Amino acid sequence: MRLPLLLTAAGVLLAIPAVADPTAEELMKKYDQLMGPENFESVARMTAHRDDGSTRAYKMLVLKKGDDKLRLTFQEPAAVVGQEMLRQGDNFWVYMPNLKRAIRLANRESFQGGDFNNADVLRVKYQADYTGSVVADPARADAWLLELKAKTTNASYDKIKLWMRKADLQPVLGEYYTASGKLLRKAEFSEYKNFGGLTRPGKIVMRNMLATARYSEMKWDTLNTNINPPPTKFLLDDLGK
Amino acid sequence: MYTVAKLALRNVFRNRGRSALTCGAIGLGVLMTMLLGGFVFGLGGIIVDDVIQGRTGALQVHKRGYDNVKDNLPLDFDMPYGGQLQAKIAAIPGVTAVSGRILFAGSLNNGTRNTFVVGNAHDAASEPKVCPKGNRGLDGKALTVGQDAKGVLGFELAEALGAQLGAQMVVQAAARDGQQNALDLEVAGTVNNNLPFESKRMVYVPLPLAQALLKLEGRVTEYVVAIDDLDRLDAVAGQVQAALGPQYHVQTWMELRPQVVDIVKTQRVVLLAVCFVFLVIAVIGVMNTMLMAVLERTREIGTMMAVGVRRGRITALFLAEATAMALLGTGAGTLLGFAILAAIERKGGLSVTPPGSKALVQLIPAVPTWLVLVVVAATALATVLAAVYPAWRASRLRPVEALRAV
Amino acid sequence: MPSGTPAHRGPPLAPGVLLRTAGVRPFPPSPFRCILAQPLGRGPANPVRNLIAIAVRNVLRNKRRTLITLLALLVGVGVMVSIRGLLNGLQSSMIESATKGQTGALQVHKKGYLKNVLASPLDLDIAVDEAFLQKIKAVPHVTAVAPRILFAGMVNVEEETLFVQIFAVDPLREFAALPKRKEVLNGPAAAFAQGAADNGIVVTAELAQGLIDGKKRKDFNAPTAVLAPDKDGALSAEEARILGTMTLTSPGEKKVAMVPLALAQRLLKLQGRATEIAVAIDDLDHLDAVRDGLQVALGPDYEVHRWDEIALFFKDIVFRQNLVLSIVATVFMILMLLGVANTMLMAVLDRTREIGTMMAVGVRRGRILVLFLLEALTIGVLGGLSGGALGGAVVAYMNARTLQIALPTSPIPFVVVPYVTSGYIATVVGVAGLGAVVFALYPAWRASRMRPVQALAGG
Repeated sequence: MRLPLLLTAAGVLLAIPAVADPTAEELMKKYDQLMGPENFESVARMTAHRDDGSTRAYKMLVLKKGDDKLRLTFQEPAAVVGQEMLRQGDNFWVYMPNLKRAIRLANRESFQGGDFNNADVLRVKYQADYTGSVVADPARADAWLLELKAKTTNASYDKIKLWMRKADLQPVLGEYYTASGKLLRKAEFSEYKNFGGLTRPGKIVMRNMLATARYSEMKWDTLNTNINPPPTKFLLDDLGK
Repeated sequence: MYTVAKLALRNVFRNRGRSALTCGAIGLGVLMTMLLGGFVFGLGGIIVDDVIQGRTGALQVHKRGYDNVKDNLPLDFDMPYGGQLQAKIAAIPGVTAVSGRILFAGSLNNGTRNTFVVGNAHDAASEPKVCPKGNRGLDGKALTVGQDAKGVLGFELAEALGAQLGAQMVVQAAARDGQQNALDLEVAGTVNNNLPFESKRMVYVPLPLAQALLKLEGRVTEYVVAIDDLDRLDAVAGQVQAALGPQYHVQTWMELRPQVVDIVKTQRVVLLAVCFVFLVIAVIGVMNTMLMAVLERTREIGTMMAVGVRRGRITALFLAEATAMALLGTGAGTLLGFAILAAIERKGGLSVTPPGSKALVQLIPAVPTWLVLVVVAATALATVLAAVYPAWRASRLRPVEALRAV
Repeated sequence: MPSGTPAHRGPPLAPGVLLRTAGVRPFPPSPFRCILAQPLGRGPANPVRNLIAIAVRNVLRNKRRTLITLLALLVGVGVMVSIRGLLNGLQSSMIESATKGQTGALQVHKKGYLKNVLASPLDLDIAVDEAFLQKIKAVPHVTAVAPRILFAGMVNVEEETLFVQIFAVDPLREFAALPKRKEVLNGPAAAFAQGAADNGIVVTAELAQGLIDGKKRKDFNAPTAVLAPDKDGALSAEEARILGTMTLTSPGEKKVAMVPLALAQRLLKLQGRATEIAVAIDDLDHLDAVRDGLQVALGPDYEVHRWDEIALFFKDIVFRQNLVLSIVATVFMILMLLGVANTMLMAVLDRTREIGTMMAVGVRRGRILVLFLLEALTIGVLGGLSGGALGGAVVAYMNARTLQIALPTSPIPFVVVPYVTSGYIATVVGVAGLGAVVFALYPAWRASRMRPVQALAGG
């Protein structure tokens, strides 16, 4: 009877899986799941720290559907209450409540004085836009380092380094590089929360590494990924309603 | 005829003082016209030069439609650089050099702060051939071939960002595909041309840097063309346009900077007006002198009439004297004018600041031959005409009274 | 008498006093009476005044010769004065155009505004409440103040949105301080100056073309808005209506819109504030005094600039014009004075015997020199005066008719009212006189160097 015990012990020993290191694809998929759900509705706050030291804080309702429909409705500060931003593919409108109409803007940079050009880190489809590889980072033993290289023209950055915690595969740090190899931005993920079943970072601090006096913070108060907003919500006529 | 001429010449040389003064007045008028004309044409030349050789080149080529949106500094009107298109332009007779540029919008970062800038990228190898005077107002080193990571900033921009010579900045821009890109830039110099926008917002960078930054490798948004003979500007422009086809838009510097054309024209008109007045004064001086001469030589004229010289001959004599002095005067004036102009040219010209610039440039007075010919002819003619009245007065004298005159 | 000399009209030369007692009309003519009337051995009572009198009479004596000389001076000085008058009028007009049509006589900003590169201009705003504006108005010679905001924004008409440079002005104040600004408003846009329409804006033709004509529509009734980031950077928009177009008077930015200050203040959340204050004064002569006064009254937080420190190119133009005129004027003078020298020389040669006579009766060489110089001075002054009168008349004529001169850099022609100052004419007369003296030095010196015997003999 010792042999079955031995075998069982061995089997148990053998059965404890040497958990395979996650592949780059798996990590990218996880990240997309966490940070770029297909559809969501969320109340988010963005605080922009300008290079003269001043801050601007915005609170907005964010509605996203698929890859190319995004609608922001501003709730704070008072100056922008009722303003909405709509993105449909490459087209971009702002709805001004006092005009009661939407105005098409060509350049996203002009919206809110450039504070929102950091928002592109939110447009997340890493699986589609990047190829990745997982490397070990001796400086951070607790996280996988996912190195991403852009493979489509939709990718906002040429290269991304993403650190995801080994324990729960939550992102902790992101570094975003230009095609020339310059570190353009750095993101710090924190305040992990359970958003209706989905645990993910509730706060991202985004730093401009070329002009370090500038940085912004994005915080999610609520996040609901179990919705399917109707396409009518993303029509110009719907703005302001 | 010959006798009259000989006599006239002898009379002219007989009274050295008076003739000298008359010829002097004529000569001075011609001289001043030449000098002033040289100055004005030289200045006009500098202004045009400043534009053609310092900024726009003789011709520019863009993709058609660029002009309408150039305020937005678009990148999607790019053209191939260094290949067939460029060769086509260079092959047109009259074209001496072709160079490419990119103008783009971006920001300049000093590590802590950044600000919006307009980037002006040019090819250090060929740019000096199309715009040799492009480095006016530069403090520091001009960009040369191989220094692909150096840039020149407007001086107020540099000051605001605390950018000393040699400082490392980062220039950032949205590339052709929309992705933000950034590259190091070492400050090689600053520029100050009394142009506020340039001082506050311009960054001059090497073309390879811009091409890498904007992902426009092998492309440019603007071609700058130099030609050998500016008189053939329109002809060459037409040929280049024809060779490239309707997709491209060729413009001369005059279309690019129409206000400069107006300024130069105005200067020339003023010049002509002033020269005219010079002429009038000089001629009045001549008339003055001749009248005096007639008064003074009353006895002489009386004597001539007494010995049988006809009135007509007397008139002819005075006119001949006037002609002689006119020729001598204009000759002397012209020669002296050329001599002075040549001396100034040999010295390197006069140092002036052209309008709209702080830098000193060398003004080389250049008077066009046609102007000299016109002035000489006009002066000579006017002198002779001015002498008509005095000569006529001389011939009207009554011999007996003339002989008796004091 | 030597045989070569012409016949006299009277008896041979003799001292005038002797002739007088003989009852014969003295020859040489009367001026010498003054010198010689005194008993010999005693100096004349008032030598200088006598010489001047003699000089003047000599000049008037030979009318023909004098007139011919004067003619050259007349024309030259006349032309110089006319050109100076024209330039004065043109420069005045240009200054007017700047101080009453664009920049104002002086401008007040928050300190650091002009040199600013990094910060948004909206951060350097000024509170323009009545108290502050009164502080400015209280400085002597200030006649009006006009607060403004200059900023970058967008104008949207239906589907088309374009980036523009925006001038926000308080219509009533602005056009009171800068009346010439009204001229740039075309047609219906003039309503902007009345300040009637609260949201009426005026755009340049280029902008109108980009916004409207592209859609093949010619009216301005489509929904229009002005957008810009407010002082906090939040995008803001205001309803607007395009009243009409305006003409650009300075080269540079082509897409410009002029909007009411109140609209901009609402738009930018800068209620009661402005970024620039244009100041009008009564007389430009007081410019520096007012500038200093304003700086003191407002303190170190503000900077005050003269209009020509803002429109830099202007100083350049005026400097060049004056330089060229000075050069041209100098040459004119030289040419004319050469004529005077010429005449003097001939006069000297002509009056050889007269000079010989003077020397023979004891007039010193020095006096002769001075005499001829005085004659030259007289001619110079006379010529200057008559030329000045002529030029002045021409300028007065042009003044009455006023002129319209179109300069290349400005699409609006300048209305030029030529004028000359009496100071200038006085200077010209002075220069003519002095110049004549200088140019007559040689002839006068020649006269004084003559040998009496040879001179008497006729040279």
